[in-house]
Amino acid sequence: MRTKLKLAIIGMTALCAVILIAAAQMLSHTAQTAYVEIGGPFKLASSKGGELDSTSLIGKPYGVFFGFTHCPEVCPTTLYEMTKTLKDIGDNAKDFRLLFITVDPERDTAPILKDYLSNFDPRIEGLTPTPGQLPQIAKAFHVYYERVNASYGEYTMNHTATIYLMDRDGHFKSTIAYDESKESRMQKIKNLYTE
Amino acid sequence: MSSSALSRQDVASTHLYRAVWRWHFYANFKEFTFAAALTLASLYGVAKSQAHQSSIGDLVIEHAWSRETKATDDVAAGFMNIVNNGPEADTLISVTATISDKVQLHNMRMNGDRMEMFEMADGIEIPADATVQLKPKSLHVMFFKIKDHPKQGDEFHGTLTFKKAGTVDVEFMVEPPDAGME
Repeated sequence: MRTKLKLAIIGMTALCAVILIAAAQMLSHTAQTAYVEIGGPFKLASSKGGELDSTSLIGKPYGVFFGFTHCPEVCPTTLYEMTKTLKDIGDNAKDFRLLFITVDPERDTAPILKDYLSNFDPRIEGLTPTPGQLPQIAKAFHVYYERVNASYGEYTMNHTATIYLMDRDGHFKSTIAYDESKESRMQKIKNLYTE
Repeated sequence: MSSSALSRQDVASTHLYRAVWRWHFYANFKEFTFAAALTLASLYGVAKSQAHQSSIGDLVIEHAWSRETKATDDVAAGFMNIVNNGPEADTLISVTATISDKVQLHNMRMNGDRMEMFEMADGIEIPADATVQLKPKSLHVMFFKIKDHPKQGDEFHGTLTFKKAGTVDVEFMVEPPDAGME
C-alpha cells in the first residue's frame, strides 16, 4: 500500500513537472514568435514611382499604417496628426518614412495615393499592394481589414488603425494608437533614433 | 507773491481738471463705441448662426458642415446637430446634397485598435426631447463620388428627410480640411 502510494506521488510529481516544462516551453515559444513576426520583407508599388523594396529601408527607421483613401475619418486624421508631429520633429527624423499601405488596392492605385498624400508631410509615402500581395503584407503586420458593402454599389473598409514603428534594422519596436497624444507620438519616433 | 503763486496753482489745477474731464469724456465715448461695436457684432453673430439652422416641426437642424476637399478626393463626410424638441421620436432616413448623388448615413466606431464603419440602413433615430450629434469619429453623412469641391467658407445645399416630419432644406458650411481633427 505504502509503496503504491509513494509510486503514485512520484508519478504525479513527474507528470506535473512534464506539464510545467511543456507549458513553459510553449509560452517562451509564443513570446519569441510574437516578437519576430511583426513586419517582414516587402516590395510594393509606391506613390513616389516604381516599387519600394523594404531592403532599401535598412538603416532608416520607419512607420507603417494601413488605410484607404475613401476613409472619411481615421486615415485623414492620422495623416494630419503625423504631418504635424513630423513637422515638429523636423530634421531630427529627416530619414524617417511613414508608409501608408492601402487596404483598398482596387481603388487606390499608386498615382491616386500620390494625389491623396500631396497635402501631407513628404516623408509619408503611399504603397499599393497587388490583390495577391495585400493578404501577405497584412498578415506580416498582424493587421485586420475587411470590405463592408454599402448601398448604391459602394463599399467601405474596416481596418486596424494602429501605426507600427520599426527600428533601423527593420525590427518591430512599438506602436502608435489612434488618438495618442502628439507628445507621445513624438517621443516614440525620437526613441527610434536614440535607442 | 504767495497769492499769485496760489492763483497759478489754481490755474494749473483747473487745467488739470479740464484735461481729466476731457479724457474722461473721451474714454467714455471710446467705451461706448466699443460696447456698441460688440453689441452689433454679437447681434450679427446670432443672426448668422440663426440663419445657419433650419427647422421642420419639432426638429431643429443646427450647423450642418463638411470639410474642404481636394479636386482628386472622391468622398466627404457631413456633420450637424439635430435637436428634437417634441414629445415623439423621429428618424432621419435620407439625405441629399448637391455635391453627390450617392449620400448615405454611416456610423463609425473603434473596436479596440480596429476602425469599423457601417451604413445605418434603417436611418438615425432622433429620440424625443433629445439632441443627436453627427460628428467626427461618430455618426456622419457619407458623400460618395463627390462631383463638386467647394472651398472653405462656401456652402452647399442639401435636404434631410425624416420619417414623420418630412423633408427640410439645409446648407452645409464648408470648413478647413482638418476641422474637428483635434
